Amino acid sequence: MKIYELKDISYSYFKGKVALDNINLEISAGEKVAVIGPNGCGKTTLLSILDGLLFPNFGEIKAFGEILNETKLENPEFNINFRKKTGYVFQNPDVMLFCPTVLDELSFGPLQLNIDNNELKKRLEQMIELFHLEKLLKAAPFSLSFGEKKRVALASVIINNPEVILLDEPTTGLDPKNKNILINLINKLNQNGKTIITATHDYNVISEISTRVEIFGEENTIIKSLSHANVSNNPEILCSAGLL
Amino acid sequence: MKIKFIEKTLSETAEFFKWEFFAEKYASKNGLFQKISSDKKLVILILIAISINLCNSLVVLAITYLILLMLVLISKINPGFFIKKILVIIPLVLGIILLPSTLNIVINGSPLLHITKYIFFTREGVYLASVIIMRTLITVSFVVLINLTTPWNQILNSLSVFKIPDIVIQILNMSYRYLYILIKTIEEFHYALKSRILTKLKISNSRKLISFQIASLFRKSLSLTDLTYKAMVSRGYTAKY
Repeated sequence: MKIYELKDISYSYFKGKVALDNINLEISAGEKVAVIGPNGCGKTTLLSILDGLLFPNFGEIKAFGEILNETKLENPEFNINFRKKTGYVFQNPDVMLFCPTVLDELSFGPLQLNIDNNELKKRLEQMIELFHLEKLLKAAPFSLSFGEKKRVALASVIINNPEVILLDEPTTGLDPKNKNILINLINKLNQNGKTIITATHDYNVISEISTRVEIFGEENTIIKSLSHANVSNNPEILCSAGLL
Repeated sequence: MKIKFIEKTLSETAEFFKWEFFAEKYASKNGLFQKISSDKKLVILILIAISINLCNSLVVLAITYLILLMLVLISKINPGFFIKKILVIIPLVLGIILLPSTLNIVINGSPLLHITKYIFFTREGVYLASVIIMRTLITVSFVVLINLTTPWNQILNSLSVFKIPDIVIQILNMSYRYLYILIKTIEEFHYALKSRILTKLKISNSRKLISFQIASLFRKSLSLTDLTYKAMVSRGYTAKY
C-alpha cells in the first residue's frame, strides 16, 4: 500500500528561495526511508509537506490514497484522521516541548485527537515504560538534558500511535549511548509496522535506520534513490549528498 | 563597567531560574503547605493579603508572622533560607524608603529619639513605619511560601478559579517556558560577542551591535513561535487544551 505519492512537487519560500524543485517520490507502508543531502537542500521542507504543515506551490501530494492540501485539512474529520496517522519529530526538541510538565506533554496529542481517558492511561503506561520516563513525569521539559528532551519529544509523538513517523535529524546532538537507544527504538517501531522517514546528515546511522535512501542534490531536487547498502560505503555518493 | 552591568543582569536572571529549580525541590516535599491545592492556596493568599493590610496592630502582625514561620517549618522549608531571602532584605529596603516618614517634619507626633534640637523620630511615625514593614513582610513571605511549595505551572493553572480563560493560562504557561529559552539565547549572544571583542568599542558601534542582537533575537523568537505552532498542529492542535 502506498502511503505517500508525490508528483512534480515544488516549493518556494516567500522571498522566492526555492526549497524543493520537481520532487517525485513514492513511499510504501512499512518502509524505512532516509532522506540525505547538503544543508538547505530541502529535507526539512519535504518532511513539513509530508506532515501537511506546508503545501507545495506546484505538483500534487497524495497521503494514504487521498489528495493532501490545505482545503482538505480544514475539514476537522480529515484533519484528525490525518494527524492520527502521521507523527513528526522536529529537529529542535525545544519547539515540541511547550507543556508545563513531561506528563502534560505526553497527554497533549491524545487529548487533541479525542482519545478516551482509559486508552490514554494505557498509552501513557506504555510510553513511560518504552522511553524510561518514570522519573521525568513531573519535571518541566526545559529542565531536561538534550538527550532526555529528544526522548520526550519522540514519546509525545509515538503516543498518538501514528502509522508514519517523520524524523528530522533525530541523532544530532546525541551522545553515542542515547544515539543507540534512539536507533533501537526506531527499528523497534519499524518492526511493529510503522513507516519511518528520516532526514539526516549522520551517514554513520543511514544503514541502521533505513532500507532506502533518497539523495538530494544542491539543486533542491532528488538526484538518486538507492538502497542503503549502496550508500554507506560509497564516498562518491556521500560527497554528492554533502555528507563527506 | 557597562559590560559588567550586562553580565550582572544576565547572571541575576539566570539566578532567578536557579531559584525556580530550587523551588521545585521544595514543592515536591511532603509538607503541610504542599498538600493544599494550588487554587485554595491562591484564595488563602488573597484573603490574608486583604486582612493583613487592614490590620493596624503591631502585636497581631508579629503573631501572624510567627505563625507563618511555623508554617514554613511544617512545610519542611529551611527557615534560614527563608529568613535570609526575605527578613533581611524587606525591612532594610522599606526602612530606607520609610525613614523620612518617621521624622517629625513629615508626621507630627510625640518625640521618641532626637536627632537635633528640632528634628526627631516620632512614636507615631516609627509605629506606622513598623506596621507597613510588617504588612509587607507577611504578604511577601506568604507569596514566597506559596511559590516554594507549588510548582509554577500549578500556580498558573489555579488562575482558572478566577474564571480566567484556559487559553490565557495556556499562553502564560508557554510564555514562561519560552522566556527561559530566550534568556539563554541572550546569554549565549552576550558571551559570543564578548569572546570576539578584543578592544573597547565606540559607543556608536556598541549601539549597532546591540541593535543587531535585538533584531536577531526577534527573528529567532519569530522562528521559534512558527515552529512551535507547527509542532502543535502536527500533534492535532485545534485550539483546545
